[in-house]
Amino acid sequence: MYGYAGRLLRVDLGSGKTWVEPLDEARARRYVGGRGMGARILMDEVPEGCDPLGPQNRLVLAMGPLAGTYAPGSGRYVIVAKSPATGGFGEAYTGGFVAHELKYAGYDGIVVQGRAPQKAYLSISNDRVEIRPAVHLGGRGTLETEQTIKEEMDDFETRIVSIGLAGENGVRFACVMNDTDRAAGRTGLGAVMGSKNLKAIAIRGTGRVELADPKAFREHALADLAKIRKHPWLGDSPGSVGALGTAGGVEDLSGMGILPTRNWETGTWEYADRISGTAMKNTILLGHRACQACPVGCTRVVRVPDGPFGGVRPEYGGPEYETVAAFGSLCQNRNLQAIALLNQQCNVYGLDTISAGSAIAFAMECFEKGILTEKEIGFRLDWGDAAAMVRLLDMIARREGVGDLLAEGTRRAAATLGCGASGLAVEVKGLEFGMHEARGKKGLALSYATAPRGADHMEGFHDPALAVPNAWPELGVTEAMDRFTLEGKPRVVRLAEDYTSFINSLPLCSFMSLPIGGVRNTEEISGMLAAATGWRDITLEEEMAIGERAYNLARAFTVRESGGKADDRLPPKLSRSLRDGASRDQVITDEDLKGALQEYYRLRGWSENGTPTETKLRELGLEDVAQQLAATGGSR
Amino acid sequence: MSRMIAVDTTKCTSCRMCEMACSLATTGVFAPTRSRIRVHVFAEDFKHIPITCFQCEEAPCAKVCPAGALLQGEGLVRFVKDACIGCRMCMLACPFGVISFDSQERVIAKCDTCSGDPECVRFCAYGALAFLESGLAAAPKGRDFARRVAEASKA
Repeated sequence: MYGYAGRLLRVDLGSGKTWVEPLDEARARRYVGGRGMGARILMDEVPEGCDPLGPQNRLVLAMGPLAGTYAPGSGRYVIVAKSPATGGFGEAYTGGFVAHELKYAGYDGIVVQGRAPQKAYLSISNDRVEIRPAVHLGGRGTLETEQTIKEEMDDFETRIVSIGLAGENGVRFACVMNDTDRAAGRTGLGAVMGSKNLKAIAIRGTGRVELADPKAFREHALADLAKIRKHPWLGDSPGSVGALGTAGGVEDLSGMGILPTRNWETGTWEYADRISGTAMKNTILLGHRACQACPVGCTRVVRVPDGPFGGVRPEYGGPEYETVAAFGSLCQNRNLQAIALLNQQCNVYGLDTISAGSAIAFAMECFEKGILTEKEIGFRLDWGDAAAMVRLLDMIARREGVGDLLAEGTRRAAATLGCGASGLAVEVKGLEFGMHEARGKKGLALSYATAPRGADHMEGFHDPALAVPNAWPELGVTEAMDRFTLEGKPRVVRLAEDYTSFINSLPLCSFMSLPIGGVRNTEEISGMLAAATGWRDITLEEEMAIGERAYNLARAFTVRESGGKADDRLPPKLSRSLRDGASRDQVITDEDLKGALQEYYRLRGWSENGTPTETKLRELGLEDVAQQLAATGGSR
Repeated sequence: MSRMIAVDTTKCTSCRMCEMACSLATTGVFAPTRSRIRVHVFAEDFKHIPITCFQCEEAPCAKVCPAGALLQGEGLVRFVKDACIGCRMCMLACPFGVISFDSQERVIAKCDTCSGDPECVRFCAYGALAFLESGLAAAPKGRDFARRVAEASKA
């Protein structure tokens, strides 16, 4: 099987058994890898209604045929499990060096089931796989865990996937870390790993990846590299993400009125320039580094040696855009050094920075409105109080005091608090918004409402990219569209989601494969896939079908787990206008959303309540999924 | 006149593209452990150091090779694979650790600049690697530093 290692590593932590399962080639072409493979395994093996933090849940690490190669952006894998944050399809993508290392070790993925009797870590050195005790690593931070395991493996090139205190404590937005500064951030998968008593996975691989046609692969990769290097946002220019990081656009977002500020009360902030990529470059930035096989290098590396927010070390990287907004404007915190420290603490504890920042902003608004008091918190929690934020983050990871409540995520915390707190939680299906203002990006709002994992900023497209015509002519996206309208967007959302879902099944970094507003390299990506695998006749049409299949699988899993109801709604704040800025007066009412949903469901071949229909599932070769949904009453 | 692979460590991001490009070009598969160039990372100091054979003018490896498999030339230490007996004495002699043993091929592996067209340089997106005339290889680094002096002394 060219491109693939051709094997999955299976691990049952309950019995302590590990075994290797061969990959079926016909199945591989239908699901490819990444999301497709992960969603398939979840659908097949996780029983309906299973406790996400119970031993029956699966934790899947998945790559695909491009991992291990120099395909730009291929240093990426996905973790898939039933989510403790949403109760539905959980997944999180991450970069770094693990995908390649695991491939060289001879695996296309790992499936973990069961629960270890005590804290353990999985050690993989090519064919030698062991479950080792990790009691001594309990409570340890990411870097310390990695250093200790590297010593035990006696190989400093070992790559490590691990959780911190937050995952061990079952924080519902705990992430999984790798390579010290990379996070599989969303949907609380660190808590799933923690529930399995799995502290870490250590990987060393010295094998190889063989391609069907190395010569052709090289040509396509070089063409792709050339396109990426020429792209203004990804290439060499002074304003690129390589130069300024993903936070380079903070001032522009504020100017457009879509910089999430003060728990989504406004989209513009006078202090945006204090926390931007430029500010970082001029103050705490040491430089940048890259994930494996990446020509862009968006990763920031910062240092804050001392001062009130000192102790920030280069090993832990630096804050990217989501983190800057979540701990910056969303909490009205203008101290960049504090943002860097909060970012580091999230990496130490293994916390998703988006949901952690959202939880703190939510608590700040609760404090402002008297729903949470100084007595309950233990200190004042005023907007922009960076020192209080650092304290509260610690309490969340440790599940201490009010931190224990916030560790449940904003949806559950709001339900417990009552007193109108639910109106302050900005989430869908239990997943907090990515740092993108949907009132100023209406197409994204539709993705937020419908995506399998909740308020997901990585599924559809970001409306400003449609401001110019011919954004994606290959699939008939030729018309320019205003970012404030929903009209005409459902079709584009659907196309973008399906292509993204294909990319997520490779997986490749989304920056180097954005269908709309990106490099426009669908041909090069097809070429690399064909040359890697030998699937010479693969077309964009088949890729879209692969994406659609994976998307429907993920959707079906979420629908199945929520008892057949889609729960496609937007939080109450979105029906109120923003206080000021260039997106002021923009709202999305239930009525607006209802119309868009109807059109979107119809285009997707889903029922009126948003469930994939039997016809659609059959068309995608997912008859068995149709049967599963029928059994839950979902497909009616 | 000879050219060399010049390394600017300040530009390296540790993406490891060079390792993968080298392994594909020299072995036909992606296998960075068989690469002739390696990136060494010191995360605590934020340093990424790519190291490969810089083709010594008086190469200890060529001097020690008993089989005539490593031949001292001008600006290039040539490796003759068919002559290699796999004794690994060159690995011992090389002070830089840039000669490795290829356990598949059962001979040593050492950079030959892809016969004057190095693949690692082609795939380096950051300009950390360049293939330059040896006599001029230091110039870009000097100019980068000079630019800092110029910027610092700007009015």
